[in-house]
Amino acid sequence: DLLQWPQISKCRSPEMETFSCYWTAGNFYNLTSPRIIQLLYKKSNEEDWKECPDYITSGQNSCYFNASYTSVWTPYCVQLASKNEVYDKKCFSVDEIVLPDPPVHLNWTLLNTSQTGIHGDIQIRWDPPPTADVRKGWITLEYELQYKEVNETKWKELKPRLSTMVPLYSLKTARDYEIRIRSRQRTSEKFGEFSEILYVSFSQIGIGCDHCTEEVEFPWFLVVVFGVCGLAVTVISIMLSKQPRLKMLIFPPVPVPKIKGIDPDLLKKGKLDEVNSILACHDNYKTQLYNDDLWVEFIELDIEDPDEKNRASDTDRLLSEDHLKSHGCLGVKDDDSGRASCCEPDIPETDFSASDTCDATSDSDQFKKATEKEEDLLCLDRQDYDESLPSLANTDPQRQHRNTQSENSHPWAPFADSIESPCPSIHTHISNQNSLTSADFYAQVSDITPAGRVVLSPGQKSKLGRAQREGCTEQNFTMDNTYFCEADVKKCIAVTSHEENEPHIQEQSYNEDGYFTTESLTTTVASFGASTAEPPSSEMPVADYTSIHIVHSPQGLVLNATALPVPDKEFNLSCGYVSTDQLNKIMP
Amino acid sequence: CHTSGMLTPNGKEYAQKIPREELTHLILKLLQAWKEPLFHFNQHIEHHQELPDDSLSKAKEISNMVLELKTGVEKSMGIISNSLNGMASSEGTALSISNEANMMSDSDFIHCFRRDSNKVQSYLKILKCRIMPENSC
Repeated sequence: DLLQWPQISKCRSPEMETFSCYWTAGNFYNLTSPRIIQLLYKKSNEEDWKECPDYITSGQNSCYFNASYTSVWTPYCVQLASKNEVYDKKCFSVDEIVLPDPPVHLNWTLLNTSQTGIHGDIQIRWDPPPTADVRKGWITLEYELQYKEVNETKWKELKPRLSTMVPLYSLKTARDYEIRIRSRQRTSEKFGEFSEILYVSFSQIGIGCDHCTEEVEFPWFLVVVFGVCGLAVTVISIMLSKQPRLKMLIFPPVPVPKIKGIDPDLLKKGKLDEVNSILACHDNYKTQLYNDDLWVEFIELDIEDPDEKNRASDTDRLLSEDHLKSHGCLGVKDDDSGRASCCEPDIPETDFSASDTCDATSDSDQFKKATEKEEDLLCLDRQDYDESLPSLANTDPQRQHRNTQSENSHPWAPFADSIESPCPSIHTHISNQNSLTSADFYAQVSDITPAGRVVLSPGQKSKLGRAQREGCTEQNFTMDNTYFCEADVKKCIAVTSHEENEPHIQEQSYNEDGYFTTESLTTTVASFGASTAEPPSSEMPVADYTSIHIVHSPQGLVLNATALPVPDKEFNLSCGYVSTDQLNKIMP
Repeated sequence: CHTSGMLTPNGKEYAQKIPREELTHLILKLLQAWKEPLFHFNQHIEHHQELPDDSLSKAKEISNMVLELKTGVEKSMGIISNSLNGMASSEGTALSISNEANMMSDSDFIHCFRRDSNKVQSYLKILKCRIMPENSC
């Protein structure tokens, strides 16, 4: 036999007012002389061990502490010892060791029976243990009920509850049941002992169902198994069937994301042009209809490149000056969001949008502005010329405002010098605007979006390549003319390029959209000397471009009609357009 | 526990004997003494990754319940005596911010809180019984 020490088996308080400790004596008693085992206890704030006050009340090998010795929330330590030895020790506080007594006075009543009399509902009632003072609320108890048929082995449990009555539904009247209840303190986990078993028998009260037949339990399991198999077979047969309609009915196809009007197969095959053409129909997607490189030149956002400033044409500055004057429009133009969302050419469009958003003013009106405009331009000129070719200061035919001035021959420089103060602040702004408005005035309108914006396109290269042999020398490029006929100059440039082999000019002016800068133009003009006067081609260049006479915001543009009756020979008939003041002469 | 110094009735008889005002005072003092430590504890365990979310939410819930209980007791028992309630609040706060309150370990904290909440529950039950005249408390 194993040697067993005396041990404290448990300490328990049934009602949180008293408590008892129980121990096992062990084998010592048999082997040696009977030893006297003592239970000593000590509260946490004491120093001396005291002996158990009552060894009898709780039975043998027990110690009972009555209410006067019990302090509920005080830590205790108890110790099992003999004279010299300590066998076991335990520390606890009373509120932790509460295990209530079982409930008493169990009984049951019939609630109702089913129509067939096979099943019945009953209600179980009981009383709390008498030791626990539930009434005053010193302790709160929970109860758990368990029941089973008499023949069964496993108890069915109900959820713990506070009330002292519980209904049991749907018990078979033909069978007898056993019921037991146990309780615990509400805040604890451990249950006390079970109560006595209550026997429920329906036959005792005369409801026993003698003629009831044993009902066969519905074979739920078989039903489920066969149902699942059948369903699986059906599904597989549908999926494998050749009938597409049935298949569509049962298994409708999953919709895939689709862009309206575009066949996904088209995208897969990779025919980009077709896709582009289709997508171009959509408002919110403008593909790059033209060569990327063109727009790179247009979208010149680099302020830090000083060379760019030099190449900006005068019309740019005019345009940018317009932007200056209408400050409200600047905000619109500076807004990147509009520009970024589409692939439309920003720069000419922004010009028009500027006119649109600002009160619609015709370009012609803008050209006749006050001197302040002049000053700004002069500022620009000054800045520009300081950096670039100062020799060209006097030759700037495309200044619009020059038209209004009578003093054409005034040198720029002194005038410009006198105006210094307003320049710097403006110029940086202008230079920014230059980047925005690096395009010239004229561009072919390729499309007008529903939003009212104009999509401009660069000219066709084929036109540029025309080696027009129209006599450049015949043309009298007076400096007073507001416009050069582009076609003419193109021809000139082409001529000069062919003859004089000046590729750099061609590069400069050979913007692929057909525009040219002032410097290039003037150099061209200045440079062509006695170019051979070849017979002018009778071919009238098709007007790619039409100047804008009036801009109505936002409804549209009034373009100068190309086929105007031009009696005056001053007009360059070969040009597709007329200058504004020429137009003014025509118009009444 | 930081509330160990409080003199509270440790038995049913004692709890029944002391006057109602004093019992109320003790209850409020206990509740107030746990206000700050609960707050700090909640902040402290929020950083514990190993705790399940249930525990964290439960801790918060318990903190709220303590506050609500204190408010409820104040309101319902405030009719009896206001001066004692005010004193309880200040004494409780003193305990709440004491050094012992801050230096408790987590397990001590939980143990002490469980004990004190059991106390509060029992006292409130006794108080309720004494207020209702139909029960012979």
